[in-house]
Amino acid sequence: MSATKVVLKVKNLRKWFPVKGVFFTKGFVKAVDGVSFEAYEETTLAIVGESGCGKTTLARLILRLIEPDEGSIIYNGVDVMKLSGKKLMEFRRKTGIVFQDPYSSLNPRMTIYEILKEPLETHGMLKEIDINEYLVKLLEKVGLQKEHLYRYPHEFSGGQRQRIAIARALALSPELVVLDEPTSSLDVSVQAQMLNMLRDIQAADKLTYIFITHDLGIVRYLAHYVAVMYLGKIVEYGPVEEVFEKPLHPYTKVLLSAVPIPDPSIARSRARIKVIGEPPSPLNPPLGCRFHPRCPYALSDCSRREMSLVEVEKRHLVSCILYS
Amino acid sequence: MLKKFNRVLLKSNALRSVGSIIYDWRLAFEVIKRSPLTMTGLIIVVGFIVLGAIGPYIAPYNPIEIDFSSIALKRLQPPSLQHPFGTDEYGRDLFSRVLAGARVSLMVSMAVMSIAIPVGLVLGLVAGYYGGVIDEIIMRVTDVFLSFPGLVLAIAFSATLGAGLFSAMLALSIVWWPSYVRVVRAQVLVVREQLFIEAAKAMGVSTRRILFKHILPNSITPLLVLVTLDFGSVILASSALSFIGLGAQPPTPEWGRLVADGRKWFPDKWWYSFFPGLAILITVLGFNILGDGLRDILDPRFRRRLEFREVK
Amino acid sequence: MYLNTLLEVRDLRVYFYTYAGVVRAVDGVSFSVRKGEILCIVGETGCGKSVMSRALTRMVKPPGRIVSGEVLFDGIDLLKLPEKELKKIRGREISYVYQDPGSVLDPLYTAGFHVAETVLTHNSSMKFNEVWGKAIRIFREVLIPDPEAKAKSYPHELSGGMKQRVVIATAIANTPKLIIADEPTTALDVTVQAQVMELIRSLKNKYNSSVMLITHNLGVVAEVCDRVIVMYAGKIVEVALVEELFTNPLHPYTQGLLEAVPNPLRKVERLRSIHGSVPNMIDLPEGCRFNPRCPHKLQLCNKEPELVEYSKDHLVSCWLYKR
Repeated sequence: MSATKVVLKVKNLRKWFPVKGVFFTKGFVKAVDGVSFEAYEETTLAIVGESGCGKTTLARLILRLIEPDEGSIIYNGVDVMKLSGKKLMEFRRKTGIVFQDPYSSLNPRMTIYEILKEPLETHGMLKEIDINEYLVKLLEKVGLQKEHLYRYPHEFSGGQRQRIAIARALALSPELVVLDEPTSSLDVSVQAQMLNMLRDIQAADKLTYIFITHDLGIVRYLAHYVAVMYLGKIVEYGPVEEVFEKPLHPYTKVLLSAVPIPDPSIARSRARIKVIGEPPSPLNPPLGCRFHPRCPYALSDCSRREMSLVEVEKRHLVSCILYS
Repeated sequence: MLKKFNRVLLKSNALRSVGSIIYDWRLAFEVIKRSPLTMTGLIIVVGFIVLGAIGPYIAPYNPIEIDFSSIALKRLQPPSLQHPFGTDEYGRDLFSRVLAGARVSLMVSMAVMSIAIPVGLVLGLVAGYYGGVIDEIIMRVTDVFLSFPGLVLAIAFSATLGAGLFSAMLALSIVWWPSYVRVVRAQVLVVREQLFIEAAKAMGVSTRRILFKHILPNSITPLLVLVTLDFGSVILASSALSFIGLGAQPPTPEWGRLVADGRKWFPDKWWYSFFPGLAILITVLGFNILGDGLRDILDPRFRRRLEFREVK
Repeated sequence: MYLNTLLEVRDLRVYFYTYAGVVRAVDGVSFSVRKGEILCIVGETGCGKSVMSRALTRMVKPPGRIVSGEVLFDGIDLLKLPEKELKKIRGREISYVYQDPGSVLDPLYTAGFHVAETVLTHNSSMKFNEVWGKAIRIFREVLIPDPEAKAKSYPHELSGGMKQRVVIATAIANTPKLIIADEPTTALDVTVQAQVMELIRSLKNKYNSSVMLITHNLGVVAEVCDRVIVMYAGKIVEVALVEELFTNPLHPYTQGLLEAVPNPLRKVERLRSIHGSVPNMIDLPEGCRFNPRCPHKLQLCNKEPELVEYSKDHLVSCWLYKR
């Protein structure tokens, strides 16, 4: 946790999706709108937010699976946006991604062997390794066995499929892995297995994780840093313990007070911050601070002034008028 | 076997996955076995293909050559034990000619498919995967072809190219591919959004490999169904072309041609048109029943019902 | 049988007859719902909780079949009641709230119409104006802002949370005695989820109805429930009052489940996980269905344990507690 080396630095990233009308563009879904953060070596950065806050788009932007409209992504001192050809392949080799839905993330017509071999083949690593031995080791790392190699995805349960997807992401021994809600479609007992496994792999392989989730429990358990997103913007960023114990942004406070706690003694005694309404559509979000229409602490200025992240304590940033 | 197979299937939650080709076809066969109608279709289709392959060798008489010595004696005989389908005006055995006709129909439909499928597949893949301007161009051209009734267009092409079996094949191929482009493109649009495509991109897999290794195998099943259904339609269309004199020329024993030739003698010598017509009817029906059955099988909603149908 | 029992289920079995074999989705489930309580049914995917809730009013679709059991509601066995009589109970005495509000509401009709229709079905003598007025009153009760306007809007014009409120409005339209809510907040965001749970709880208090809440989220259980039933592979493994369940879980499955959920308000060093996965429902393990995954497995576990009372209001089905 003492690691300070910045692996990934994202600056002012922006991605708007146009919404087409009959003749003209009707507006933009501001999925990611000026997002900046840093991820440190061998730590987990959780990006947490409700549906439609842009966290999944952000995951894809980081790995350049979609092109941002604006902003820069610096990976180990290299600007990812400027990479192409061999350099881009090198970046792809050093990064991996695991998706939320283990049912559509594996090609149903390929055996596990083929699925896991593909990244190695793509990066010309077949010559260097004994493929069978390598794949068996890889499978063991994610808790599967040799005999699973020649089966098709549909022969596996959701949890096992997710293990395969993780194995695929790890096949090239990456440094940075983006995990997009990898456990949200799994049952609680399987989720716990998966979270423990991810943590063990991180420690063993010295990985940096970017963990996209909406589950605050997972954030607390797995992450070192957390970025709270609301409607395309990061409203608070900081070390997990600090953010959870001393949340600064009203939205973080609301979120923490609304999340169901699996412990009746805490769940029923804590004070609740009531929040009205639902997150507005990211198509034409509110002006000023995007949370102000729902914010219990809103001031009159909130609708006029758009705040940016300000460092309140070391590595604890918040974007709110109350702390400016 | 079935029980074990289905057990694997339930265990694996296959309902939620697209399912592998093997799975599709194995399941298809299980269903066919259970549905007498589809089974009938399958038997007809297999029978047609077998007859097409070996028909001329088992034909009791030469289907083409005319035995001038006995024309007067043998011409236009009604069905009998010797000539189950009767004879034509040159004394040839109609049963042998219908058998030989199976091969002609099989050849025509295979030739048409062997052109229409690859063209439809490649254009559909490209249009669906790349989208944008390429998609627009391909689809607009396709739309132009589809805006005319297929048979009318085929007649027009066939007439331009000149009568004959070869030009009929070519004409049918020209009108047949557009519908395949549509089907393939529609499926590609679905498969393209699957996460495994994105996963492949994230690993740096080349576009060509994504297209042929990931998208193509997952897009092909609906096309196969359509092709099965269409085999019958091609046979019907080529018969129609021959019927109006554009397709096969005498003495080629084409079914449509046979029906047309028999018209002169209808209804007195009814067998001349009747048996070739019956052959067309049964074959087309066979392909249609089989195709319909396959479509039902591959429709996820139906598949669900099938897997969970109540055992009496 | 308690005096304040509203619904009593005895030995309910729902089997699905498939080509692959018989899926024993609900296999001998007995419990009761008390008046005015929120009873949670908690369990993982495929444990039979949803099927069971539908079976209570015979809403199981083929190939599922209710094989045996009694569902006593006010002393009447719903499973033996003629369909016509049962229809009078569904929607009036017992109503449902489903997980996905989007697919429950018919996109062709306004939000208010859905509520009005439910009212009208059970009070055919009412006039449309009266019914519409009542619909608006109910909308106000489920805290829909600007109910007059919202009643006239179509489902696609409403947000997810608003749609779920409309569904709840239809569920309470006839002041039912029992509301069965199947994962009512799973499709909603955390902040909205809290609002909807709060609403269900306040409505329950207001009408003194009972609520059967089906969920997989132990957080939700801890937040709103009075009593909890834990299901595993078609069977009830433990029944307890909520505080008791969280402080003194008896069944190894319950224990495992509780320790597998990460708590956002407390730092845990390491989650305990239950090894293995849920059994195949066609090929169930012999005896206790949890035994292949159980850390305390005994010789006895190859025989099926019964659900027995461990202490007052705390039932468990495990050989560890056999005296």
